[in-house]
Parts: sequence; structure tokens; C-alpha cells
Amino acid sequence: MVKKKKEYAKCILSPEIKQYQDQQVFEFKGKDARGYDFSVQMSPVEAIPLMKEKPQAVDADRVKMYFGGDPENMKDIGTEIEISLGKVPEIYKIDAASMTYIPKGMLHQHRVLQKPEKLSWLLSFTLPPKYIEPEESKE
Amino acid sequence: MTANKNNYEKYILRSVINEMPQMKKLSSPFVAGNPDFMKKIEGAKPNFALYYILRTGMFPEPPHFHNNDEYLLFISSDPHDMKNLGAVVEIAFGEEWEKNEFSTSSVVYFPKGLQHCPIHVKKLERPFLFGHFWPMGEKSNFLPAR
Repeated sequence: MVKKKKEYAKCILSPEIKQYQDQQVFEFKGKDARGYDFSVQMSPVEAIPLMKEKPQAVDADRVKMYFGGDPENMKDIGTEIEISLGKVPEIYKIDAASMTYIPKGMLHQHRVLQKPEKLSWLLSFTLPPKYIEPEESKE
Repeated sequence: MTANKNNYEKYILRSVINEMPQMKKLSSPFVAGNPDFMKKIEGAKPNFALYYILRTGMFPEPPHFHNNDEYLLFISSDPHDMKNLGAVVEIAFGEEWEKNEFSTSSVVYFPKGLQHCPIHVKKLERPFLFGHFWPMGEKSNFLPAR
């Protein structure tokens, strides 16, 4: 019997897995329905210092979610993270699950202040430009 | 004449109401923004949520589709092995429920209008992270299978 070809197997996409010493980072880049780029990155917080990112300003909005790796206590990130925002940097600290929004063009950096006591994650989205939904497609 | 002995009491069970066994929960709490915070975003406001899947079983969502593209994220929770999902997942695509299975971290793309679900976690070695992402941030819509 000939096995029928799967029509939708192509919809299961593989992320890129990047190695930073013993830590790995999940990264996926795609295009929205208009053709604009977006990306999703999931990184262990422990990998952040290893990635050696410099202060940067990107041509897109970003959101970053920091959260704990214990499903029973996702609030606990097990460390303190310093977030620097703006050309004249304003410094903020977080020590529990949090979300940050970095507007397009804003200089930003984050720094893990202590080695995390437990697994925690950073989920980052680099977003496409503003989208205004046509009225007729809304429910 | 009525017998006065209890010879047959043993044939009567008087306690027949039982607690229904509850399954362990399928998912953890989820991480997401809130509407007030999302209003600050100048670009496309992402529609997303992310949580742990904790056991095998079927996701509760029935077959459905959306008026927009959707990406589902299936991400390993092992920071030393982000490729191996630690689970086997089967997803039904289209009105014919074409089943596709995977066991590595994956992003599953559903173009606008493509029916999907059920989603079945067939095996689980360790919890994994699961989420949805609508890049253009359309208003939530959930249209039942045709």
C-alpha cells in the first residue's frame, strides 16, 4: 500500500537552536501575512550573559517576558535582572516574572545580576509594524 | 409473612455516590501581557500566551479555525537540549483531520482559515512550553469547525 503524502507536514517548522556554552537558545524567524519580519526567541536566563549582547536599538518593537521555569511557581525567576532603557539610560530592576516593552529605536540592554538559583526563561518577540484590523474581519 | 433476619442485607449497597477521580491538570498558569500594558505597544500588538504542558492527553480545544495566521510554539524545557521536546505531539490539520506527529521543538503554522485540532500529547518525558502567537495581533476569534 502506498502511504498517502501528508499535505500539511510542511506547516511544522523547525526553529534554529543556538549554542552558548552549555546553554541553548530557541529562535524562530518568520513573516507576517503582509510580509513583514518577526521573530520569537526563547532563552534560558542563564544564557543571557553568555550571549554577550551589547546595548542596542533595533528597527522594530520588542517585548520580553521573564518568567520562572518551575511550572508551580512561574513568578520566581531566581535572580535579579537590571534593565537599561533609553539613550540616557534609566535603570530598572526586576526580580520576579515581568514583561518589558522596548519601542522601536530605543536603546536597551539587560544584565543578569546573579547566576540564577533556578531555571528561568526569557521569551522575546521582535514585532512587525503596526497593524490596523479591517472592521469586517472583526467578530 | 416477612422474615425478620438480615440474611440478604449483603446484597444491598447503600453507599453508591463516589467522588469523580480528577486528572492532574494539563497546564500551568500562563504568561501574557494585559490589555492596558499592550496598549502602549506602537507596532503590531502581539496576541500570545505561553504555559507549561504537564501531562499527556488531549488539549481541550475542539477543531476550529481563525480569521488570521496562527503560530503555535512547542518548546523544550531543557536549557541544555532545546531540540528534543521531551514529548510526542500529534496535531490534526484540515477538515480531513490529517494527523501529523513530532517530538522536537517546533513552530506549527496555521494559515488563516486552516482548520486545526485536536492536539494530542501522546507521550511526555518532561513538561514542555506551549504557546500561541498571532504576529499581527488580531482581535481574538475562534471559529468552530465547518
